[in-house]
Amino acid sequence: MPSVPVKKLSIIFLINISAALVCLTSCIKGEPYSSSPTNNFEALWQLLDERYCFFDYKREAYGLDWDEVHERYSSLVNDSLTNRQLFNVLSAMVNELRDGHTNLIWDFGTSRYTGFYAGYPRNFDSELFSRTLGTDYYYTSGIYYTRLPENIGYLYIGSFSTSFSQRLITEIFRYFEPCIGLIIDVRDNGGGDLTLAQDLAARFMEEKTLVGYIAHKTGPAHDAFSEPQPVYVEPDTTLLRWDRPVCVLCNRLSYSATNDFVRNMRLLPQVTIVGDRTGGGSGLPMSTELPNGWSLRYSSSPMYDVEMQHTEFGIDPDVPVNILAADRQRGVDTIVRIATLILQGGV
Amino acid sequence: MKRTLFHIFLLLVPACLLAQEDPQPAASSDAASDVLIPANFTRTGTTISLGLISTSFDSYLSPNNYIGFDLDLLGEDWRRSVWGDNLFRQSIYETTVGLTMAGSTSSTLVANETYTHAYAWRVVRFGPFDLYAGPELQARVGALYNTRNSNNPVNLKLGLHAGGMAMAEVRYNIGGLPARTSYQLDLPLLGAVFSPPYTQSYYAMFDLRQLGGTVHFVSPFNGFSLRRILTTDLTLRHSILRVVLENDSYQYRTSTNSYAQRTFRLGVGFVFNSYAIRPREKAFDYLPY
Repeated sequence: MPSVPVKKLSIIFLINISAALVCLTSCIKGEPYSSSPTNNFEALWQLLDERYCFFDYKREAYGLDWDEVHERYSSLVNDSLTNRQLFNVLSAMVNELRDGHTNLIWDFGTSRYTGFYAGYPRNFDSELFSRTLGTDYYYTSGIYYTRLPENIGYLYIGSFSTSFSQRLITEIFRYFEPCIGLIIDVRDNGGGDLTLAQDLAARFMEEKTLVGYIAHKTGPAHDAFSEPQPVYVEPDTTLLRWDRPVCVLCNRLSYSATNDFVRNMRLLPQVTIVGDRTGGGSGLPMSTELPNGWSLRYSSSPMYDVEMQHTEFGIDPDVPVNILAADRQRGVDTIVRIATLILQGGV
Repeated sequence: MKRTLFHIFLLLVPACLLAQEDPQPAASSDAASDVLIPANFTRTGTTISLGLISTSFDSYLSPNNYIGFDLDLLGEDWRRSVWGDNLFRQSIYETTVGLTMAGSTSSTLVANETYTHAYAWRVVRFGPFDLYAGPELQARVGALYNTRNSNNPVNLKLGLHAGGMAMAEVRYNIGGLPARTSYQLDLPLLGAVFSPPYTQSYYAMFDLRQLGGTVHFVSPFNGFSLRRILTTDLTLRHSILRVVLENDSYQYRTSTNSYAQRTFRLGVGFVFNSYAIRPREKAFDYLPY
């Protein structure tokens, strides 16, 4: 017969070892849910303090002092605030970063920074856009395209969020085969899929091209970044390539992935950037949350151009053009008109 | 195909009946070439469990602690190894899908596949009481999907760990029918996990192939993980019912990110005991037709 004490002792030994090991564990766990306005204010400030990627750059650019921002806004927050009041205060604090990629998202509202386009000429008009397209145009996958009377191809891409295929681009290039040049209009294009924008730029490249650098934060310090890594765009040589002159039209609402597209296209010798400065948005965004469940999107990884310069506040065009009132009255889009002249060799 | 499956079924039914008896040691291998040998005892158990996730935390996705529930399919394969009567081989497959919440608006979908392969040496055999211990390898593959994150909604979970297992087992009778209860510890000790460095994007990692720094060494010093499984097998006529109580705590802290998931599960299922027939091709010679 088995000895009961030995059996019991063995089981007790196993259980005790197990319990001891668990007790020795320092349990890793997240923050508990909290609806306290002061807790959420502090969490928001700290999340951005540790994760936002442009503090040093923006301190130089316009004197951003994140500690001073904390002092200024903490006096506005107390635990008696309603959700809407708290949202308004936190949104204002987030907008101190002057970053369209940094948004606070509540179920009933999303904070937006509009300073990169508000107060500047819009330089895009839906009425003029309709007149440019005329009645004989094609539309698919968010892309409008037509041949202008000057024998120039006109391609309007309003977003890089709507996916389009490389086969479509090939077909559009074939349609534009008789044209002497191509206008790619990315005004009012707020961005979207970075890979899609890079794939489109690749259709104008002859070979693998260095287009910029990217880094990421490696820790909470404002200057903790990885070594910037080169970003290449490599064309698929089996696809049709456009090697004739190109004008890229942009305005202040050409943002994020579109800013990246313009950054890449301006490296090419056959490309001229026409219009207004782009909106910028060169920080790759990430999302996280506050203790009350509100989402926070923020710029986490800075992307640089080939000269290791930030393009967070936009890219200047090669040929700056605003839509003129006189042209508008005549129903002419000045920026398209100038681009047409450039492609015809008249500028 | 159907005929083959039917033959296998016929072979397994008597094996299940045999399982009610105390398994005998394997016969001499000299005779193995031409007789049926009830060697290589195999116990296969499958349970389905409902779990309570008390902690689901991934600092890459959110600083918040999520709680929720999961549905778990646990499969165990326990068999005598070819290297001796006291050395056993155990494989545990565990597939989990879960939903966790933080507050009223944030939710995360969790999916994990864990495979554990262990060799267990019977270090103590004292009447109905056995104690096993041995090395194990554990692989974990999974993903978390945060439904509110727009730019980084998913984080992949990949881990490979080496560690040890220990199991205490006791056999007894209830109403004259055999039963067993075991308590098992799976303890990953050393391993490597995939974890993005701080806020590095998946675009940089996979589109630009900047994967440097994404694999991290883990040990109990940066995350103590432990899986405990209390299992009871009860014989009900010709079937064996299994009841499982499991506590899985898996966590690690890299230099820049942390991850933890702790789950308590209660599950039921069935056990199938069988004996391999060697050589396999001879088995069909003993069928009645």
